Amino acid sequence: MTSSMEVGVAGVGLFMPDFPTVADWHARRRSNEPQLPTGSRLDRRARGRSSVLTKALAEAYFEAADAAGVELGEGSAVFGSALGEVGTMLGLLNQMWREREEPSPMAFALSVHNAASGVVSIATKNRGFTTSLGADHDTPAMALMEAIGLIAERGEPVVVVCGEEPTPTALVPDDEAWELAAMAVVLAPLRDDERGSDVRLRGPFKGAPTLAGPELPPMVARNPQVGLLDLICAIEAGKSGILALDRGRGAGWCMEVLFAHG
Amino acid sequence: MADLYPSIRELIPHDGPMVLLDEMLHCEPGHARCRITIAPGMRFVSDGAVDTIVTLEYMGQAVAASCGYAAFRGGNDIRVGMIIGCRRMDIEVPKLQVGDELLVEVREVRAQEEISVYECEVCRGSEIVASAQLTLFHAEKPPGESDSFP
Repeated sequence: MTSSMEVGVAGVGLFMPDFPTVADWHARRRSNEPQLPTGSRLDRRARGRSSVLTKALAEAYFEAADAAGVELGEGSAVFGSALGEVGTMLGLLNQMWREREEPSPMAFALSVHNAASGVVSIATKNRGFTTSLGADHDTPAMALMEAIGLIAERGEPVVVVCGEEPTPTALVPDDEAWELAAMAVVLAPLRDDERGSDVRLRGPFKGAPTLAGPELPPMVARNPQVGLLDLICAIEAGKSGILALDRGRGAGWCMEVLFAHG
Repeated sequence: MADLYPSIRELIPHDGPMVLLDEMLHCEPGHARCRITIAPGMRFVSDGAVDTIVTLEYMGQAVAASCGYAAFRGGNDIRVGMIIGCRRMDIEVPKLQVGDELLVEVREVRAQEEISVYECEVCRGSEIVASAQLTLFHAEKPPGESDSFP
């Protein structure tokens, strides 16, 4: 499927241990020491229960939504992750099948792929559409495709947030490992009076990239969600072109980034 | 050749109609080939056909049989396992028909005590009908079980 529809970008956000906000990333202002997401915008109970992934996704979500001026109780959201709450799931399986303990019902409830989607929508009292998906290295492309479909159907902004917790060592070899990262982009419908707005996106489609992502440390570049970081960087760079959303590790999905000034 | 191997029911922890494979045809460390002929009344068969997505379970059972054969050769109990991830599953035909004979081939990509990863392929004759990479979680090893494939 190829979408020819154009959407605007209303805001971006991210959380990485060395760059906890998009402002830190844009300024390349590295933290003195790696940070953990606090989930500060979640209520105390949700914060206490949530995994590091859910908190990182929440940080990116809120930063992007704030930047876009999105009313938190309204609108739609698409959450993407290749492995999701895999650390919680492996912990439960170890409890059940190796340590022969009763699994924690709370951990079970938050072991599912849509844990972050549920936690954030409850925290924001948002009864709108929210979904979670996983498509390995194509997760950013599929999340953007889902969001563009929602914009076409509903005509309202959609927060796309993709992230991955640090790789469980049992699951991924060291030379394929990545560190925690979560990125968010708020897509918005283009109204006629916004046709000349700063940045628009078209896609996803399979094509030949003309834009390259920035050089990144391997533990960031290998993250299956790095395509969304590349998109944030392309927007930051202000150049029009076609950007790969998978760094060559997925099915080849691209997004066209369009600036009014070329 | 197939009669060199124990019954599939001795190699996998499944029971009753959930034993979907017919037999093991070949097994060596990190590699196994099993056979299944889709029969009327078999679990997941409906209107004479089975959705090809079900081959995911065939693949999982072939991995279980491979691990089970290693345990069998070592005189150990078979262990419970679970599919926890599936990457790059390609389904080439939507449905398989009653009477189709399938070969399920699994090859270990990497394995640790608790997690293993297998490349899996299901063929009907020379035609690949489905392939995927499965990640599996393995339950606790029984005390005294050897790691080696005899």
